[in-house]
Amino acid sequence: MSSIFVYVESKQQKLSSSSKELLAKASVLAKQAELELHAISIGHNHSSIAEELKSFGVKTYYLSDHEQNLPIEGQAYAELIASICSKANPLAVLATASAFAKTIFPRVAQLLSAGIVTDCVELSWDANHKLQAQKPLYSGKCVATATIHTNCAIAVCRPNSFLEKGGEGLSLCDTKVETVEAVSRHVGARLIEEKEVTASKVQLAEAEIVVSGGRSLKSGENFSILEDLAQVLGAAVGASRAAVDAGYVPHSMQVGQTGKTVNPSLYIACGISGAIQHLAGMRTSKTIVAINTDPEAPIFQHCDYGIVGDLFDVVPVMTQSLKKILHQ
Amino acid sequence: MNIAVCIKQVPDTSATISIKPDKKGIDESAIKWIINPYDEFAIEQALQLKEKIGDAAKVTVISVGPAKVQEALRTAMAMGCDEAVHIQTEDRWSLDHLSVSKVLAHAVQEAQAKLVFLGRHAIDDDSGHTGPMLATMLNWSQACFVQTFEWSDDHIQVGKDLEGGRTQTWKIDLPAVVTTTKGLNQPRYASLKGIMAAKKKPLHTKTLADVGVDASAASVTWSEFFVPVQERKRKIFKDGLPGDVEQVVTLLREEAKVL
Ligand SMILES: Cc1cc2nc3c(=O)[nH]c(=O)nc-3n(C[C@H](O)[C@H](O)[C@H](O)COP(=O)(O)OP(=O)(O)OC[C@H]3O[C@@H](n4cnc5c(N)ncnc54)[C@H](O)[C@@H]3O)c2cc1C
Ligand SMILES: Nc1ncnc2c1ncn2[C@@H]1O[C@H](COP(=O)(O)O)[C@@H](O)[C@H]1O
Repeated sequence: MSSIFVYVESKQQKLSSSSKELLAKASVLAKQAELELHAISIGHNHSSIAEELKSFGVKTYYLSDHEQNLPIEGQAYAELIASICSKANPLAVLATASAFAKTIFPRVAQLLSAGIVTDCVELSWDANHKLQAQKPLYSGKCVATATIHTNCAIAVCRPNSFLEKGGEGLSLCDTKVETVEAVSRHVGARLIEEKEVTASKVQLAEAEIVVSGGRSLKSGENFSILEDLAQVLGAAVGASRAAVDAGYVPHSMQVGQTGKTVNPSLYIACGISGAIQHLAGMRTSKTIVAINTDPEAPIFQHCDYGIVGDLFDVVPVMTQSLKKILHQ
Repeated sequence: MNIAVCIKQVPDTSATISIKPDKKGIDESAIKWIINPYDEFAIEQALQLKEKIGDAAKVTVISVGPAKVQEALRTAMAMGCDEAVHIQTEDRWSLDHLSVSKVLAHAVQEAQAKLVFLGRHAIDDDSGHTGPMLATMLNWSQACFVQTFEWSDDHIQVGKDLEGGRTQTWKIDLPAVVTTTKGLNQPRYASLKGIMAAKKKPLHTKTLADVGVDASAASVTWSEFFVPVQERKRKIFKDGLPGDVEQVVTLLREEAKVL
């Protein structure tokens, strides 16, 4: 029987929320096309998630458990995933568009000669059982449908895109765990150092809520008022390019056409004018709040709720107000 | 040492995108084209490396696309690249990434490059497929999303920003494929002298047949383009604190239901 594979990631020995979202979608796609559903993961301490996979109807869980990062970014991981997939000839392989997956899956695609689409926001089967993916192009200025014609289709999906919650697809089944040996040949690349540089732990691209600041923050230290708000909301902190270029925060926090694309349920833009290149990175947010001193700022044309005021006054009041109601 | 840079020509970031009547693509007639912003970091890094190595280094800039991409190649040569290779295609969307990376692999090998720079992704298709795919075609190591770069003879040392506030440093043996991101360097502008010099630098053109790639069966085809309209509520408050905040918080809970 043919199949769908889902590459899953875990956090603190639990399936990440993005992986759950993807499994829920995959489970529905598998049911529609009468396919088996399998999961793959590579990493340390992942065996605990096998239990969680049952409820999505995952038949086999291919697990490569090892202590450390494989010795190269991309190559060894990609070869491992491709070799697991090539044995089972899946119709589709799905992954979440994390920075990691984005460097691995193009390699997997080339190894499997599979068509690939990255940043998919909707998936379906066409009349010929080919996978179709909706994907934003030109930084979200338009959206198009990609039809993947190869025998195996790879779709790397944007977090927070699908409506399925789990339970709509395959029924519960016993998940068989299959351990896979990692490839450990010398590949000419070594990880020398890994460092923590910023405090914010919530990953921007996958965040449910994002609080962003612009040039008007005036310094890196002032971003702490946004971090306070973010902490109350469990949000990630982002920034405009002007704030990044001024050196307040690192580029990894930039939202926009030449930064990260975010797709949260709530985006709070503080002192951001709303330039087209910034909107490109956050326009698909479900709800947008803008705080700006200038009532004419373009961001107010693109928000659901706006407050005309100084962010240094408004943000702390909002933090206090949310603290009260969220902790009730 | 020969160094290659792969560049893509893309619509200007401020371009308005409108859809063709058959919905199979965008209307390109009024678009101003630029070098993909991330590819400027790739060009700059190749040029800085050439300056470090000296005369023994050559930088070849490569682009796959319609005739118009020669403008981008000339700009790259005006910035300082030594020669350009243009592999001509009919339009911008008929080749899939699997084929583009095959074409690029051919050109990189022909240029006898040991190091290739690309942008982290192109801002038209927003994919980031080409770098890792090219590395696979060449069977080389890859370093993606690179923010710091050091070279010494047979290896490079690169730093990258990970999500969640972590950075990593990798040591990678050559040959290698590097994809560049913002923060790596400050791309230079082409000088007048550079622009004049670029006119005399060699620009080689090739067809897909020359490089042995058949583009007739794309793995991915595109249709049903549309411009999403996101209706926003645009409820703006300006009556002062804390009232404005209280109203917005209430709406976030009761109307938008996001809290
Ligand atoms: C090739 C290219 C790529 C780009 N990519 C990106 C990208 O990826 N992301 C991105 O963000 N930009 C990008 N830009 C830049 C973009 O065009 C804008 O310049 C940038 O987004 C502006 O940032 P800003 O809103 O912080 O600053 P400004 O435009 O200067 O706006 C500051 C805003 O803060 C308001 N303000 C000032 N003080 C206060 C206060 N105390 N309280 C509340 N509000 C206040 C002002 O009224 C103003 O609206 C790109 C540009 C180019 C050319
Ligand atoms: N047609 C092309 N010609 C040359 N380089 C390309 C082409 N397409 C993509 N690239 C390179 O690959 C990078 C990633 O592009 P993409 O995979 O399309 O997002 C770009 O930043 C370029 O450096």
